[in-house]
Amino acid sequence: MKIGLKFKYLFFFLFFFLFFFKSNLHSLEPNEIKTDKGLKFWFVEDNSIPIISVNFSFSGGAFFDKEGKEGTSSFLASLLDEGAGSLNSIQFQNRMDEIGMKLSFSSSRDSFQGSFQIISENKEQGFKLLKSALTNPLLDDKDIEKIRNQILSGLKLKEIDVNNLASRKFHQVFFSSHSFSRNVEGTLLSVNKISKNDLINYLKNYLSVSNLVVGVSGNVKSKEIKNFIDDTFGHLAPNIQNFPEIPTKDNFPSGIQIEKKSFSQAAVLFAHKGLKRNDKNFFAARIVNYVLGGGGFQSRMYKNVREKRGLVYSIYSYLVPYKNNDILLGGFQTKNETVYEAISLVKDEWQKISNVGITQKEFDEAKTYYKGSFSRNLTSTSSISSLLKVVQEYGLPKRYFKNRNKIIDSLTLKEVNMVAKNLFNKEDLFFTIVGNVN
Amino acid sequence: MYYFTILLFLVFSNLEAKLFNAKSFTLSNGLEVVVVENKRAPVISSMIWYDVGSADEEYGKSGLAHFLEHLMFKGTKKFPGSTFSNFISKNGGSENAFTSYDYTAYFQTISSDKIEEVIEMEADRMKNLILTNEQVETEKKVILEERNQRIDSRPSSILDQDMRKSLFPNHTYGIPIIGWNHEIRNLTYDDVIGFYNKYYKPSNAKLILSGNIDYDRAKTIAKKYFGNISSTKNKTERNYLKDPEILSNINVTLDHQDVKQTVWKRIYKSKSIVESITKGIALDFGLEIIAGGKTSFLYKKLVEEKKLFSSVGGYYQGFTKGPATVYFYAIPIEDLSESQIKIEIDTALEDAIKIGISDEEFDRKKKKYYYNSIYQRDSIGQPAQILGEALSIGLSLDQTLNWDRYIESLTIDDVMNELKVFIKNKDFVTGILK
Repeated sequence: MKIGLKFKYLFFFLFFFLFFFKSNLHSLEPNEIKTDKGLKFWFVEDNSIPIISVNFSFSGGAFFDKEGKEGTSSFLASLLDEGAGSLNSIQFQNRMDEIGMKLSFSSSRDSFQGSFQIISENKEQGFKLLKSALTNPLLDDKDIEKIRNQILSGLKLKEIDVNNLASRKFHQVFFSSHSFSRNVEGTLLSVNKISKNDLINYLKNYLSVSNLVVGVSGNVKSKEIKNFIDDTFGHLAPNIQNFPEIPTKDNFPSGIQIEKKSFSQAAVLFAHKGLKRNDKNFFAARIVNYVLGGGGFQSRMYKNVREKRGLVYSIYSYLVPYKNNDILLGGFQTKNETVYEAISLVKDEWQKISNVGITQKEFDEAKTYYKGSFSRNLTSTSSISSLLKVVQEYGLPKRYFKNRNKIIDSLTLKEVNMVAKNLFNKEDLFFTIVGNVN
Repeated sequence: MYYFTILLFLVFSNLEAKLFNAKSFTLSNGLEVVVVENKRAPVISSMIWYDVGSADEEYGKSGLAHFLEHLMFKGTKKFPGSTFSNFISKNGGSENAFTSYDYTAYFQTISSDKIEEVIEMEADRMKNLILTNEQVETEKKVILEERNQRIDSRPSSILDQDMRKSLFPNHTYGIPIIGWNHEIRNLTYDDVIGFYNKYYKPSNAKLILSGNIDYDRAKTIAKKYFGNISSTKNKTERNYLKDPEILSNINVTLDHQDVKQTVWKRIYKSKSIVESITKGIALDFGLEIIAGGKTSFLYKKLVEEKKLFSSVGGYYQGFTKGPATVYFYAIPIEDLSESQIKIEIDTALEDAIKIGISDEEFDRKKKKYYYNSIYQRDSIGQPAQILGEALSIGLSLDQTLNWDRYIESLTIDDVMNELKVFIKNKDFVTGILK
C-alpha cells in the first residue's frame, strides 16, 4: 500500500516504479496461451528491455494454514529461495546473482504469490531454477530453523509497531470466526509448532495447477514462453475437482474496539462491508471512494482532517480486493488526545457522502483520473505481468483492458451516488484503536 | 531482510557506453536541466532538485527545510490553493516530494502531453509561493503528527535518531531531517519565507525530465517558464562544522518495556563518494561482499554457521555531500549480551578481511551490478532519481553517466584496501534496543 508516502524525510528514498508502455496505453492486449499440458496464462511481448517478468499466484494463501499452525504458508514462502535440487541455499542465491534472476514469494490472507524476473539471455537457466524452487525445494532442516528464527524475530519486532498491532487487532475482531481473523505470519506459538511435514503438505496440496494464475511480459516469443511456462508449472499437483473456496463472511461487527497501549500516538483502522471486485458497481464504488479517501492529496478526508485541521499526517480509505470478502477499509494515526475528534470527522464524511453523494466536478475529475492513470500501471515489464495476473485472479475477461474506459465513460453521476448511498453507512463502521485512549 | 539492503544506485553496463541517454544544458540564470529521452510510452517524469536540505538549517531552526517542502503545496497567486495538485490528479498523474540532509526534491509523473502545464506550475512555485500564518500553523500540526508517526512512536527510529546525534555532535547531520519537536514548534512564517527566498532559485536547482520528450522541446519549455526567473548565480556557501574524532566508546541504549526482540546497530562515519569515487565504490563493493544480504560473509558466519543471529548485515551510505556513513545491524536470537554481540561482529569482520575476496566472488558481484543496471532502465523514474541525487551531492553528469568505467577498472586490491581502512575506523557509535 502506497498511501501516506507524501513527504518522505528519510535520507534515502525508494522510488516506486511507474510508467510506460510502447503501444496504445489504453488497450493492453494480452495473448492468452494454452500450453501442451493444458495450462493457460496471459502474455504480452515487449522487446524494449532484455527482461522477462512473470507474476503468478495460487489462491488460498494463509486460508489453508491448519489450525494451530498459523503462518505455514508464509513460512513456506520464505523457504522457497533457500535452495533447491542440488543447490544449497547459498549456492542458490549465488546462482541467481550470476544470471540476473530475481525471485520472491509471499503469502497473504487469500493467496500465495510469486514473482520472477530474468535477464532474457539467461532465460533457460532462469526458468530451470524457478521450476526447481517450486517443485524440488530443499526444505533443509537447517534452513527451516534459520527461517523460523527470522520469522520469530520479525513477529517480536512487530509488537512495538503500533500500526501493525492495530491491523492485527482489527482483523481478529472484524473477521472473528473467519480465517481472515488470523495473522498471516502466525503467532510465536504457532510458528514454533510448524514442522517440516506441515510445509511439505502445504507445498504438495496447495501449490497446484487448480488454483494457479500466471501473467508474463517481456522479451520472449510466445512459442518459447509457452514451453517455459509448461515446463515450469506443469509439474505441480494437477487439477483437483472442488478445490476449496474461501467462505464469505456477511456479519461484521460495528462500534469501537480499544486496545490500550502506551504509544505516543494512536493508530486507528476502520471498515465496513464493501463491494466485490467483479460486482457491476465496483467502478462506481471506486470513484466514490477516490473522492472520499483515495485520491492522493485531493480526497475529502485528506483535505478536512489533514489540510484544514492538521490532525493527521496520512488518512486514507480503499476497497480491499479480497476475492470473496470485500471490505471498505480506512486508517489514520493521530495523537491520543485527538482520536475521537478524528473519528467523528470520518463519520461526518461518511454521512455526507451517503446523504449528498459527490459533486459533478468531483465525478468528472475522478473519471479522468482513472482514465489517465492507467498508463502508469503499465510501467515496466513486472508491473505489466503483475496486472495480467491480477485481472485473472478476479476472473475478469481479457477484454477488460479494452473495456475499462467504456466502463468508466458509461457511469452516470446519479448511478454513482446511488452506489454511495447504498454502500456507505456510518452506523456500520467498525473502529479499532490501539493507543493510550479510554 | 530487504528493509536493510541498500543499493548503490549507480551501476555499470557493458552494453552501452553511458548509463542513461542523458543530455544537459544550463539556462543563463543558472538552472541546470537534464533530459533523458525515453519514448517507450507517452509518459514523463519531472523532478526538480533544490540544492538545500536539513543540513543547511541554522542551529535552533531544525525542520525548516522539510517544513517548507510541505508548504510548497499551498499555491501561488497564479495557481492558488491546490490548483497544481488538482491538475496532476485529474489528469491521472502522481506527485510527491521529499527532503533529505542534502537536498529537497519535488516530482510528478504524468501523461507527456501535460508536461508544459506541469513545468509552468513548478516554475511558478519556485518564486511566487503564497503563505498565510494560519497555513503555517496548521501545517506545523501535520508535521508534529508526522514526527510522531515516524519517530516518536517507533523505538527503533528513536534509537537511530539518538545514535546520529552522538555520531555528529557538531555537524548538522546529527539533527533529524524532520527536526526536533521543540524547535519545530517554534518555527515561524518568517523563518519559512526567509529560507525559501534564500535557497529557492534557479542557480540552486536542477530540473530532470525523463521520458517522452525531445531534447529541443525540453529546452524550449524550460527556457519559457524558468528562464525569466532572476537568480544570483553564486552557489550558496556552506560551512558545515566538523566533528571531533570519537576517542571513547559511545553506546546508546534504549530500554523499552514492550521490546521483545533485541536489535543491535552501529553507525560509522566514513568518506563519501564525492570525496573519492574510486574509494567509495570500492568500499561499497567490499561491504556488499562481507555484509550485504544472504550470501555475505557475515551472514554465512553468524546466521548460517554459528546460528547466533536471525539476521545481520551492513551497507554504505555514501551519496552525501558531507561525511558518509556505514550502517550495521544484527538481530540476536538468544539473549546475547552487548559485549558478546560486539565481539562476534568484530571477530567476523576481522575474519572476513583476513580471508579476503575470491576472484569468483568478485566477478559474481560485478555481474550482479551489471544486471541491476539493466533492471534500472526498465523505468523512467529511476534515471531521474539517480541523476538528480548524483548531481545534487556534487558529482558531475559526466562522472555519473560514465560510472561503468569506475566499476570496470575496480580491482580486488582496491576493495581490500578500503576494507582494511574501514576495519580500523573507530569513528562509530553503537546502539542497542532492548
